Amino acid sequence: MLSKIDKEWLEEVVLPQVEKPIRYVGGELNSIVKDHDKVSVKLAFAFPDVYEVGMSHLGTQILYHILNDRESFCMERVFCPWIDMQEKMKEYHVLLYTLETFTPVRNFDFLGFTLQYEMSYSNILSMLAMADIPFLREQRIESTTAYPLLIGGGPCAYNPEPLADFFDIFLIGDAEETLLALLDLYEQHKRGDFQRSAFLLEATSLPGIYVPEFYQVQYNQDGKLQSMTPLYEGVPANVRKSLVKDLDKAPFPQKPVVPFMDIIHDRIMLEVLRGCTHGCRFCQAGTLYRPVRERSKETLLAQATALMETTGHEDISLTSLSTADHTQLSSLVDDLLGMCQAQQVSISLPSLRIDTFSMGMAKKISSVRKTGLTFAPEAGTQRMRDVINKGVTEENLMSVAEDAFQAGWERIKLYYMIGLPFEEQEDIDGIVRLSNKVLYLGKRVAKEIGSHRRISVTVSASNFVPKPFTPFQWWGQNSIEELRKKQFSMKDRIRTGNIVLHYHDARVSHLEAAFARGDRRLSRVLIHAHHKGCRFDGWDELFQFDLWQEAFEAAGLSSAWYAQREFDYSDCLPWDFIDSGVRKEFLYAEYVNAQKAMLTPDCRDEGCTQCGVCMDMHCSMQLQEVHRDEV
Amino acid sequence: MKYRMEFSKKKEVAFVSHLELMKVFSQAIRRAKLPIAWTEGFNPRPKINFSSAIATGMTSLAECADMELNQFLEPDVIQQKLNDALPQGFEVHAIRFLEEKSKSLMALMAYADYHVEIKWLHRGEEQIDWSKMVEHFLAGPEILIQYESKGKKKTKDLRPGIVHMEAQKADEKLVLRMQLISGSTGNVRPEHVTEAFLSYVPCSAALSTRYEKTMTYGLKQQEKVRLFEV
Repeated sequence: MLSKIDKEWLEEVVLPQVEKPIRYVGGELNSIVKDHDKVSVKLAFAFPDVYEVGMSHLGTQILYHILNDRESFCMERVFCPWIDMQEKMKEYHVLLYTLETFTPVRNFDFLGFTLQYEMSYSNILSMLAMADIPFLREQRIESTTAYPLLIGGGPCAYNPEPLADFFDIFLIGDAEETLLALLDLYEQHKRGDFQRSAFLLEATSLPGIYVPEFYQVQYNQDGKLQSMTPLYEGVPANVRKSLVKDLDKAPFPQKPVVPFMDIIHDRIMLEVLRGCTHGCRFCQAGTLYRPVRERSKETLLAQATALMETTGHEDISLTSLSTADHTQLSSLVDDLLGMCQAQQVSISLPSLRIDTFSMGMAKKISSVRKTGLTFAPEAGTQRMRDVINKGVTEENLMSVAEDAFQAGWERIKLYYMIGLPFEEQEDIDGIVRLSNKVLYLGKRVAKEIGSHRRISVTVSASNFVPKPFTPFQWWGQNSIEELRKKQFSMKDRIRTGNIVLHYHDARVSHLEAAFARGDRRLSRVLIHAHHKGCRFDGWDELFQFDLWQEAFEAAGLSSAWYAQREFDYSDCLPWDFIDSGVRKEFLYAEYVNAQKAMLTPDCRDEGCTQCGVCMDMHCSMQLQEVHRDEV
Repeated sequence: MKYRMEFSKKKEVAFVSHLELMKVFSQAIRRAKLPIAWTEGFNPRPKINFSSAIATGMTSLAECADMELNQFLEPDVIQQKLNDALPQGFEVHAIRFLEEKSKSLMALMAYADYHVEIKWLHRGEEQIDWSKMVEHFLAGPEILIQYESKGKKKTKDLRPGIVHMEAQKADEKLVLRMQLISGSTGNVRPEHVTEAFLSYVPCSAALSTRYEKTMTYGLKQQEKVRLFEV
């Protein structure tokens, strides 16, 4: 076994040479350091991005709490070192280590990666290289050295295939219960004569566990996927996601780690609900986290009280896919405000919907600190909003914007997508037109209330990326050129400095689509990309598209074929063997509805839409009240 | 109700930056449920002020901070509550009432003592008489260094800011002890003095240097006093 990293030496010699050394030392409040001799299962949890991004992720904190609560398990954290640290680690031969005990991740039983974003895949390989762990599963199995088992989870695990050659296990769905069950099983097997394949075979009986080596993948001559079949008896042909049915009883971290460093979301994250019933057709999370499950006001207030005492954060964020939908939101916010005001703790609602938003709520939560307001009309015309099933109208938007300007907000942020299916030029023009309309409304209201402050509108237009398990999974993405043309056309039409336009690099979105819709063959592309020097591709300043193009070429594959190809209904999709609970027929029917710009109502208001999740998974929506709170 | 405290920043939190240090204290104050006073405005901050910005990587035995509470509490109660709430590596070791009209720490602070430990990459410095070397180093009319600040190259004479300096060899280490001016009227950084000294002595580059602030001073009727007591 490799010994621990000499922390003192690292702190004296290596860390003074890198930027933000606090990323690499741990020791934060509420972090948990266990004696490795007293635990039987050790898991290193890797977030394939820098510390300040990874520590903003609620899921990491939840699992940290659940696993470390068990006496015989330990979970330690590791993030992707920034490039300066990567160089220094290479120079001084420092292996990738965990922040809790400075133990090389190679020494752990499991190395778990959370897969939040396709563009962080290259960092997974960087981290494996730094850990001195062979990329390919086959190489690890054949080696005489013992390596940790690699687990992948998180939203991108719903199409794990581009990473299938690297990982031993994927965990699909809510990890709270299944990860514990998996480690329990491992503990049992470890007590006896541990056989890797026996353990993995038994693991496949757990919900949401996918073991890629147990499946055979075949392709047609045209390169399309033909079939994916289990190789052994007892291995499920379809892997159904793991689901926490009662979110109110699900464990929640009472003592999250409090970083020293300023992180991206430096606040208490109170997860008020999971799932969303609106059914926007572009939204992957809207399918993956079905059915909607709310925590009760009592539970949330108790959690908030505990979290305020254990963290000292100055802000509580009520997080979820659609917080305004919580049926007890108004009274929850009232009670929270009562608790928070004395300590100058502010409350923020990150995701506001235009149709359920009320100014009263905005004023309430801004009583401590005034935060920005963001609304997401998502598209510029009514037809396009109907295509994506975003059930809001221009009137909705104008009415909330007017309220906001009346209440003294001067800057409003509008969030749109471009490159959506069935999009026309007039939909792009519509983004500019609608944003101008909001700006002029703001100027008019400012004049009426006698304000001389400058009114501005920030327009953020992201490139649509078709994702698995959405009605748009079949749709081929716009080419890089098409997306750029649309971006320039918006830029050309905005003629005032009071509208600030933000958009993303179309080349990044292109690769994101290729990996989101990709198959097992993309593992080879990733290895080439790593050797050519790709890493931190989500960071504009480090993204190197030419290297990615070379990597695809070297693997004999085309990124455009993966990103832009439209799938047929009859095609076998690389992620078809995963069962998200939502039926493929439902998704396809929604795709057809989209083409006709036909709306599908919210299932909680107008009855079941037969998506299949409640019927097939024997569960139901978990709502605390029959109707949404008046907000 | 104003209070002045002295605290240490130890090895395990050496890499906490000055901005992060302020966050650490705001959060600890919330966790300790101290009745802290808040600034007015859109973004209220707790009323706590620090003596100086301590460099990332440096430890300290004598950092000072003033804070204002809305309510009277015994100093030792505050000390206990803060120490229970602070992360490991921070410790408040003294706290006292502060007269309402006291000047800010920034304005009072004048000098600081530092302890610098240097480890060598190569030997070969056994012949050096370190006391003499320091004597010579300080004897010249000026000690000029060039450094970069906000993208601009600057030259500075360190000599007027060095009150006292001594060097001692201990095992594998060279230890420098120095008193430098430190505050709003003038400031010399121990890193600059150390670098200048190391480039002055005829031996190879340092493998690592560790800086610790050991005492902070203010002026009281032109007398040098422990900053906490000013």
